[in-house]
Amino acid sequence: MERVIGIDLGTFNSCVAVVENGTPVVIANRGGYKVTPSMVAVTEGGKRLVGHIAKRQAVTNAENTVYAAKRLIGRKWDTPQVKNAIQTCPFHIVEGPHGDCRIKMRDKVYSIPEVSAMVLQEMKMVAEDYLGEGVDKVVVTVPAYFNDNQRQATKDAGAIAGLDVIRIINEPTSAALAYGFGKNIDRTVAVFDLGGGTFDISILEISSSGVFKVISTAGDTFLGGEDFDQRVIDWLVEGFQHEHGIDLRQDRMALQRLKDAAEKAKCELSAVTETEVNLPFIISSARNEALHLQRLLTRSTLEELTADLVDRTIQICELTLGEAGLDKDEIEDIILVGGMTRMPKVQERVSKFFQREPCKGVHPDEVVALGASIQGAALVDESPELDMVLLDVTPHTLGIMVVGGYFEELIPQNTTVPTSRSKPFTTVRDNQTAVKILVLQGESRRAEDNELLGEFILTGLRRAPAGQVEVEVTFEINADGIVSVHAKDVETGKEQSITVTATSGLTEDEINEMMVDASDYAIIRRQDEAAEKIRQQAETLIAEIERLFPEVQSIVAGSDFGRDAIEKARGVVDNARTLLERGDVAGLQDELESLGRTQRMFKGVVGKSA
Amino acid sequence: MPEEKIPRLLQEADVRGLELTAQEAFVHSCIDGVLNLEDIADVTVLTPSEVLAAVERLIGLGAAEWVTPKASSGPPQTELIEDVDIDEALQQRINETFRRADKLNHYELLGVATDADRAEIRKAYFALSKTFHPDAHYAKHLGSFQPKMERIFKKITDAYEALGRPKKREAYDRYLRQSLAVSAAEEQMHRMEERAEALSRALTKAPVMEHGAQPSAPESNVAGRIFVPSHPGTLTPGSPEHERMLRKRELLERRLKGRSMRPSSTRQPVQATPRPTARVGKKEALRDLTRSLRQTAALTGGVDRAQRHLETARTAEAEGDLAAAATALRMALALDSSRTDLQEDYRRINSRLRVQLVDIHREQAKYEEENAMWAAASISWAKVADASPEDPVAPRRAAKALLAAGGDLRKARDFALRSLDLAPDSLDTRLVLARIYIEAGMENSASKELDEAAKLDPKHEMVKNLRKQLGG
Repeated sequence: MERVIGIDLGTFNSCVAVVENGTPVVIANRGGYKVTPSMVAVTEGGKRLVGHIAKRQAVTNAENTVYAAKRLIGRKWDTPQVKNAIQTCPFHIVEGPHGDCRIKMRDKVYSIPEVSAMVLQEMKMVAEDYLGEGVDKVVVTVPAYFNDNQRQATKDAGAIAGLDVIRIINEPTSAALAYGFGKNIDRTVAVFDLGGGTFDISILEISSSGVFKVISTAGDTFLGGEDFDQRVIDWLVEGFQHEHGIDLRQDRMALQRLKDAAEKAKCELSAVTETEVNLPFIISSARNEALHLQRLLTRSTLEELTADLVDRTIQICELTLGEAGLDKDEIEDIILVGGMTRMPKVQERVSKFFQREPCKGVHPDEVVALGASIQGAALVDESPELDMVLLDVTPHTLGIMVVGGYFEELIPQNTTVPTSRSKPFTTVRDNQTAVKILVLQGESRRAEDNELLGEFILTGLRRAPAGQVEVEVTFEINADGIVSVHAKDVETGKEQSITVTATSGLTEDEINEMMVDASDYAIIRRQDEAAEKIRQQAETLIAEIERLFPEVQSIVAGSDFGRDAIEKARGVVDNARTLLERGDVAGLQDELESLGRTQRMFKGVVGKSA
Repeated sequence: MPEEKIPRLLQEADVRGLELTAQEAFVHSCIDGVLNLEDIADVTVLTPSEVLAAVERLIGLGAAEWVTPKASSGPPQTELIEDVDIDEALQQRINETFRRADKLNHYELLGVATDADRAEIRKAYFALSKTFHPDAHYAKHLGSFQPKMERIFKKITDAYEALGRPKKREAYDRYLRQSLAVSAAEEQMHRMEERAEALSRALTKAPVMEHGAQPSAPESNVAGRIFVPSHPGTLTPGSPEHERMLRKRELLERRLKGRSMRPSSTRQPVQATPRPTARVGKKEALRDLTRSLRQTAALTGGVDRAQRHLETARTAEAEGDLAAAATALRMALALDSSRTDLQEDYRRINSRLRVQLVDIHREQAKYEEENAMWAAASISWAKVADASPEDPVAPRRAAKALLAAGGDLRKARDFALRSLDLAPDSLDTRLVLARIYIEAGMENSASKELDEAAKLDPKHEMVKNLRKQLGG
């Protein structure tokens, strides 16, 4: 049986684990550390450095030291997230040839997966040193909220590193796996994962039979420890500017020193209530006089500076619970993952929200890698103690673009995979012989706001008037999370399909062009279901009222008030009828309330007299 | 079964330019791409061979063609023995489950009782997941079993999702309970007819029996319509048996009058028989059945039994169990068909029961529509339509559901026409009908319907769209 290692490829730190004799263990690197910084640098002499050694020289080589590449993986050049990174990162981010972003170190430009591959390669070596044998199969974790482009780019990174990524799993799911492994418990748990760069919350059911089922998951790929650091940096920079009139952000080296100091201070404040940030000789003044930065940071100041960030995590928790259809008290345990969950304020808010103390038994930095190694072993190992199955969900809605630039959902978010869904569509133009299927992922009604995963054209449709050619589009997600899309001309049975191998190689312009282009090939949903639903509601109410009419009439006709009510009811029904006949759905929707009121009133009258 | 061929018209051909006999033109007008030769023969009252001749001539003229109707997608015909890495028992289980998955309700699919608690449901789902999730057989060659397993997994996940959350389960349970209650009530009423008939036969044949005697076993093959009471005494007047029966009736009536049998106005139950509350589950229905049978057994022709039944009926009615009330009244009536008050009561209860059942069917249909169970929805709407012949909505929605389910287009058309009869000015129904015709390839009829629809609302989006679809 082949060994499969598990790698938690973090924004700032990575960790590798393996299952040995049925027990998952974290593997320490040559320096004895269990986590390795996800940092890559190229020295003046052109030497590549990865991990601790890269981190140690970061201050003196800030422009050629890359960290947090994970924030850029699978992202397009022309996105606010990348623009923001360009503003704040000391290394050089440049535009790639396919609208992607790349990183320049010394005189060479690297793609993001290449940079991540360097980290993965380092982790692979750590594992191989420990195991004394070659390793090539790996389970890599990603934030649950990663879209398919980001997942694919992570897979590509594995391939570049010479690893066979047998599965990409979600970090919180992985943590739950490690938490529940060998425990023999039946429990509903929440995993609160606030890492260096991303925030995820997942709710899972764990069963003693070894099944882990994700109920729902949500998150924010741009909310993590780095944002907390940034608040501290801003506070320090503003204070310094106030005092000396110098903007430290303009100096890349000062910025790197600030980053380290801010992170260090933030971490210290998890244990103590105040700490001093001391950066001597941070910069020289205009008069060539050395300036020092020295400031006292208290825990309460830090909490003030970052209050909205913590708020946001709690909001997302609330949303996810709603999505799962669960009450807070149904959550039986909370697993805290990620370094940021060491912050007392975070723990306090989480406990307060769930009205329960989080579980203390897991190591927030190691648990994800442990889970990945367990999943790897469970897949290839058939021994009973590893007899477990992970039922994960798709974190984003999958669909296609339809005429008008709208996004038509096919597989909703939080659907357990593997799954499949079909919907019929029809052509929009006369003699339209081709349909372009744009596969998108996201939650926006507008297609262009969502992530484009891939596209293909179904050609050779028979020539027919608009609307007459029916195209059935089927989405499938298999257990590996691979999306495939089939489009079929229902009449001729002609079929075309793609396996969506998402890449981020497209610019916004290209996409816009594609969207315009695609409108020529667009298709529409066969029926407007929402309108249909309103019509049906109205019909049911009318039928119900009509049914009760004679009885109500005989009961209340004696009084003026009753006759008045009857007349009004008649008016409401007639009006609704007219709207129904005219197909005025909007009008009908407004009328639903009066219909409902009339129906309730009628029911009340009949009920009382019975 | 040999492959059935169906004639279909070719659009391009202009019929007026062809030299056709009247018979051929008649056949031409009936070809709709749905009817087969025999159907057309039925419609035209021609012989199948005449129809065949006409169709072949039309084909010769390039006005029609033969098509083979789409085969219904049944279970995969070939389950070849594949070289896969899973054992035969599991292969069999996968095939078996795959075949049955569509027919089972959520509880049956998960293999749990309907009163199973969440933990049991969860346990059952998780156990099944471990069998059917493809990951459980990672890196093994699964061949055609892989898609089957994925499909089964999706089904059990749907079932778990519907049952695993209290609110969703409530809605599903209500739906399921109603399905069972309705079929139980219908079954009960069906049996009631059988029993009532058997009873009246027994009354006509045998002299008044002693208490405790066994009644004759109900005949099983009575095809009684559920709602319509078939009155006892269907014997030929004038026959000796008929005479005997009349005499017995007379006798019974006289005894009846001797007692004070005015129905009491109070609803106090005389018999302290606990009645099932409002909705009848299958179990309750069964219990009712045994009870009624026992009551039947006790029926020894004593007319006080009729009163007993009447009181049972009152209690049941007070508790809202209309099916039981109707059953009891029917039994009372069988014992004493001459009492107009009983007849009146029976009619009243029966019509209330009908309303109740229609309400349930309507609710069922709505749930089915919401969950895209179109085939089921079409059946439910059809039931509503049958029970409330004055309601134009039900047949229309039955037609719509059939359309969505890809069901029988002829039935769909009939429903739509029925709805149109009741409400000729319904744009919606016209559109449904037009869509049915389009689906059936009957473009002339479709375009006629659209003309009618356009008269009602020329600006309607759907009318315009469908017209475009027709290329007009």
